[in-house]
Amino acid sequence: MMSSKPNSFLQNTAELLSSLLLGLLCVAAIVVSAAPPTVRPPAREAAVFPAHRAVVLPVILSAYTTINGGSQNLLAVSNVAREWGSYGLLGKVYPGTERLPVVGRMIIPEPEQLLKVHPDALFVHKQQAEVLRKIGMPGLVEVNFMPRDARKSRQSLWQLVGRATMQGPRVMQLLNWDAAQRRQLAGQLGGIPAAHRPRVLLVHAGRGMWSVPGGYYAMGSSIEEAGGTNLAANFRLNGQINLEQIIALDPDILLLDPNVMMSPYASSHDVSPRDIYNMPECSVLRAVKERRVYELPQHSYTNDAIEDPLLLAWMAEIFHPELPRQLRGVYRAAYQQIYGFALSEDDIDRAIFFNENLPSAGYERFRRGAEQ
Amino acid sequence: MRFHWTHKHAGLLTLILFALLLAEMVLSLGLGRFRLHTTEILRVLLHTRLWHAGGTFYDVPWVVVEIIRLPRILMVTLCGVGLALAGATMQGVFRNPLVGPDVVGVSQGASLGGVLAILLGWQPMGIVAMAFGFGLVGLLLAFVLARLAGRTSTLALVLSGIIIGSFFSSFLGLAQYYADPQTQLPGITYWLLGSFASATYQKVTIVAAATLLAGCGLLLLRWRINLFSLNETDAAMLGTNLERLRWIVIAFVVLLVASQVSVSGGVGWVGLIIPHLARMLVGPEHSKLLPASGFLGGIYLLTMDDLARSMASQEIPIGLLTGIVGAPVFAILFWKTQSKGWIHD
Repeated sequence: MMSSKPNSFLQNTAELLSSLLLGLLCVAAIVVSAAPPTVRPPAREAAVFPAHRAVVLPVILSAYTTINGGSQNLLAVSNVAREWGSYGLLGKVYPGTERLPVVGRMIIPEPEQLLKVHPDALFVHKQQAEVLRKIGMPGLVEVNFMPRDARKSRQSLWQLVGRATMQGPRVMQLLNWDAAQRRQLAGQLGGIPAAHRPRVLLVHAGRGMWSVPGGYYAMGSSIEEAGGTNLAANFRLNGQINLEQIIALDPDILLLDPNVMMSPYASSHDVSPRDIYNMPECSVLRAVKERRVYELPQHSYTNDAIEDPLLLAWMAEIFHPELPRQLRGVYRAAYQQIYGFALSEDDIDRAIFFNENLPSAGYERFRRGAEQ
Repeated sequence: MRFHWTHKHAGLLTLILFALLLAEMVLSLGLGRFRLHTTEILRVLLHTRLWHAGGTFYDVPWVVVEIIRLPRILMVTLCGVGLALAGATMQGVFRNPLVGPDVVGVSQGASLGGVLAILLGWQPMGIVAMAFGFGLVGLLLAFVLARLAGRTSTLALVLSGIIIGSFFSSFLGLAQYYADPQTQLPGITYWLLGSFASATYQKVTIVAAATLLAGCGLLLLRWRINLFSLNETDAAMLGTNLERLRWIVIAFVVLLVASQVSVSGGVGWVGLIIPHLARMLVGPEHSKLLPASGFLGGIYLLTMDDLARSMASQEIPIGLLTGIVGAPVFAILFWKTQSKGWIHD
């Protein structure tokens, strides 16, 4: 048995002292934190607009560069913002985005790094802003973009970025363009009876897993707007789905979303339409039998005032092949008008995954030179 | 030979550890991505602490030292002390060197509480409160389950803790599964990996109060914790009700662990490896082991946090570092102590 008595006076004193020191350490910490120092707000607490030295942490870089006309006033961005801000055609339009310095992983702010950078406007997600509020960081622009409420929060996000970049008129112009495109599409689809709307299921596929973006995501309403019926409308949450459920739903059209950000369970481009056609377990699906499995064109979720109308135009032609073949022209016109950028035919092929989708029914309509 | 030396000088060694801890706390104030000269740090500390002066955002050294680094260093130190004390105590109570504070479901409960608060979009103090509350619920459920099974032994409590911990872990997975991948999941993942980046004086107060109460409580009970090496009858003959003592001691441990998880998320391995290291230095007797473990835990976690915030261009979650360092260190300790037995007195 171990001894439970002190060996000597010195030993006992040292042990007692240790306990006292621990207590003292705690008391000192309590005393220090009892009256915490507060940061006196600087004279000009708000962000300086237009921002000349901006930092963007949330995944809204595509909206920022589109409204600002490039990345010229940006000091740095988060790694995720840079990744998604330079994705797809936007990376070609604004190649500087890819080389922007990174100031944080994911979208979590690192105060000391940001103090070093000292931006005059710092875009941060509202839920992650607390750590910066406490140091009195001036120039905070809190973003509250929620994908589940995309249409409404997109408009306020665009207006916020418009104010920060002093590009309010451009924001209005972009939002008007978006509304006009939607009106035009609604006019084209107006005469299509409900019975002729294909039943569509949008999935993320990869690593042997399938998941559906729940019904409240904007993409669900895009399917409806493009003249389809969203089979996942009643799936409230973003989550996994098994093949048996897909077979039970038996969609007319199966859409594969390459944007992995919306699903942690699938990786981008893991599965192409060709792979689905080669899967024996998928052969019973109507969409497979009729070869109506498609990979969605490249798009980002915060640049949807531009990319949503393009996506809608693509969906409408996929869902309703009787519509005129206009997609390539719509892409060219949109990029020319909004970005002053002349898309090459190869750019469009890559954006709409022409080669990946070629084995699917009717995709020949998007071949260069096939426009009406 | 070395063992005799440490036994003889355990008290002195503990005081040296405390001095080292204080020195490291001071040195840590100078570490970080924002480079600061020692004179600037001293100016800020004396200016604020002696003259109670506030500061403005434009005094960047003041913001860095007073608002960012000082609360963080205090919080890391206290969490390290608390986790190591909790680990040393649990290993003594359960007479098992593989036991850590996780075994009674507290950590998993606290993690679930924190994640739920993030999902609900609560503010940081809400996260702390939920984590703390769920940590206590975890322990309570483990105790109730052990009681329902009609057993009050340590084995029954450990098994109940494993069941409750797994149950909470499943809900934790479910919460992550349904989190919004753009807005909530990054925050949850970062929080679960463990980080002291969001340290505030409010959180320091929570951890300090818990450490003062539970840490000092454990130190006052340090002689009695040795009695867990006896069987219940022998302990009763010495006038000690082991079961009641176990409840009190574990309640203190829960307070320490729940307060840590609630302010910084999951930081593993500290409570497992530090008591082993301390045992090698001062021996297994709890009156020496507990204070030595506490100070060593503070030194260890502070070192890990200094590395986490300064070794790479971007901060590394400390829970990853403690895991990467902890597992091999534990493997070495396990290998070294196997030949002697873990008590090796």
